Amino acid sequence: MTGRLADRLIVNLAALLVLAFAAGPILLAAFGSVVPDRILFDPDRSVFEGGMTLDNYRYIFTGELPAAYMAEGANRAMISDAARQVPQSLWNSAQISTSVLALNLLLGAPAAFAFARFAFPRKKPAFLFLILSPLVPAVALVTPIYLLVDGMGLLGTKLAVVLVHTARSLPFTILILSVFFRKLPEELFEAAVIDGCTRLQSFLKVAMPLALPAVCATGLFAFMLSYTEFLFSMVLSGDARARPLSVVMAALARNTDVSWSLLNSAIFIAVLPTLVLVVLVWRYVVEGLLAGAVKG
Amino acid sequence: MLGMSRSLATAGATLSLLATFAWSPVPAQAQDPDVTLEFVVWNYSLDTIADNVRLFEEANPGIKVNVTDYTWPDYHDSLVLRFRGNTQTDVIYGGQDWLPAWAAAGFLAPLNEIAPEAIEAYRADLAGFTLNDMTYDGNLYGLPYYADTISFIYNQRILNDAGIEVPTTWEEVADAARKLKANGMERPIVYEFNQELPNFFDAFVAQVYGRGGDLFDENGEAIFDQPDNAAFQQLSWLRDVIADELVAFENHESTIIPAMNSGNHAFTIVYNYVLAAMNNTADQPLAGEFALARMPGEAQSTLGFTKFYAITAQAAGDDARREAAWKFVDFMAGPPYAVAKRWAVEKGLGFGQLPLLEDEEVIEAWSSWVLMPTLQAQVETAHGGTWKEWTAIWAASFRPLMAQAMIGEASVEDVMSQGATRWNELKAQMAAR
Repeated sequence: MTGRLADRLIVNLAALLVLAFAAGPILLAAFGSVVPDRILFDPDRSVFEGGMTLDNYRYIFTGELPAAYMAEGANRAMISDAARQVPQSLWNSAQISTSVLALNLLLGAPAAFAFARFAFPRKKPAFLFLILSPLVPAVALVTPIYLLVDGMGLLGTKLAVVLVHTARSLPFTILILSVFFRKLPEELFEAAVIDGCTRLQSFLKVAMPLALPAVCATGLFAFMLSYTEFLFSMVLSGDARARPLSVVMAALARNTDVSWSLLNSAIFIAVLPTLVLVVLVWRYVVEGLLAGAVKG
Repeated sequence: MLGMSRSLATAGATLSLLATFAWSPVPAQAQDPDVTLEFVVWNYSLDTIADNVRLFEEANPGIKVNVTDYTWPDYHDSLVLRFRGNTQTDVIYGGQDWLPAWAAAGFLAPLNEIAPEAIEAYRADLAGFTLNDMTYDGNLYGLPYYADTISFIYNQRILNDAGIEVPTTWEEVADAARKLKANGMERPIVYEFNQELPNFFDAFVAQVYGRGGDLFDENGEAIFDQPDNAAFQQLSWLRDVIADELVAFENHESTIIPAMNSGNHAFTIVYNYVLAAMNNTADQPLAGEFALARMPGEAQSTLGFTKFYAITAQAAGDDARREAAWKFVDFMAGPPYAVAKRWAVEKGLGFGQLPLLEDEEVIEAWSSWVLMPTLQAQVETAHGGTWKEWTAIWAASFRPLMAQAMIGEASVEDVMSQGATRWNELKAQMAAR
């Protein structure tokens, strides 16, 4: 009895620790976003003294300056205009990451199926090339990719970012899905062929329904890779019209003058959609995995 | 499973819709301008930049200006990538430290070749250090966007309470600090100590200028390894006051602001705009107590630095873009200095255009946080730094050495000798190219 209690205690403590690391920064950002800087940085003042304020969120969405920064006196840059780019960049990121997700599944799933189930010339070196290509450091590719994109006339467009993010994430999608497709029983496909299915029909009607959990998981993975990618996004996206959230967040976070309350507000806005997406999609991924386990 | 498939189908439709947006082209302008300029900036106060651009476009129909901004840490590399990639880039923010390399590489065009008469007329209005910072190989490559000096800042109340005069030499600074320490202030001097940042070296150069010395001779040879050199003496001074536990360290100027506002320190050496932040009544508890003094030392000079508007060689190669780019730079930085004044009044940014020091609106706005006569004297006597193609590389290697000497891990003699050797090596390498 005592041993089980101790086990539960250890598990709960470990869970709390994980929760602290996973949720702690988000909660702190949420808290910091509604407390003015002058209170946040003053150890002698209670955080409840000045009251909570949504001024930073109002500034981000409407441009109305927070009251704390309207006082007389020169103030160099506590309020960074980059924060005003957050809503537009959020929309840009949604478009870019969703496109990357869609392209990964459209191109990656058939490719993974082909690598997993079919024999064709140079299959092994092609697969190795694909899998090893992400090992090239991104920073080494910036200049050639910049020149390539510039030559294609796509510099400063979301399409450029979508293409590069897709190229960077596709190997992972193919690797993960091909492992999954390889594990599917051969008999299923033999039965499908006997029933008159073509290779495409085997893929669409047999492999894909069974692989839905893995497809969801890899899609989400591609989405998150794109959503958080900074280097290529920064170099290729140009001005604010095409700029994704990771670049705007870097602009805020790397500006040492910027108001911490404002930075926290932007962090919270940036995290929120991803949290919602993960909560929504993860349910299906887990459900699918469990269903697959029972079937298997 | 059916519910899941339906949800996935809905999700798929949403994905397709979103993905379609990503591929949509950017809407075309209602009316094509005669010339479109690409203006590349770092992302400070984008709203003000956009508004200045709007005013320019209204005053110059036919010229459209697109603004692209990068974060400060990414700005240099992004711009070099644009230059190398031949991406259209017409007007940029330049910096004194980048100018030698960019000008030598042929990325920028001298303004005195683009608008010789105007530039000649404007020179008299520009502070000496700004002219130095924007000049390479005898050519002027910019007009000031933002120029400032490094300041010696003190807490007036603390000095008054302790009956201490404002120090005018480094020896007086050390004496005042010792007196304050004896009165109970643990570390009277707070110092920005971060070998990764250029501020660390710039503040040191400002102190050397205060003594009336320089690190280099008129031929650009390193002379700071000589014991009677002002830099040698100043590094020894820093080592001594640190050894005497008179100095507290902060690793960034932004943390100097709350440190000084804690009342635990009386002196610091930072860029002048930090004084504006320290005296900001909106969020600093001791705002109003901080004042600017001339940099201690026999010369009381300091280091000035300039960020400036520059026209690219690419733009200068095209008649229409060259003319439009000059109009734009002239609007942003030329007489009557309306844009520079706007930055000064609204944002507290420093300037290199001397007439603004006597502008009533500027004086009124700045008097709330700085003593204008002292600032005027400081700006007029400030020196520009020694900026060569290799300065940034050298400074990056010299800063850690300086740090070692300051905290007593290496001798001043060794550090200065190594630093001078490295400088002269880089100079020779560059000459041999």
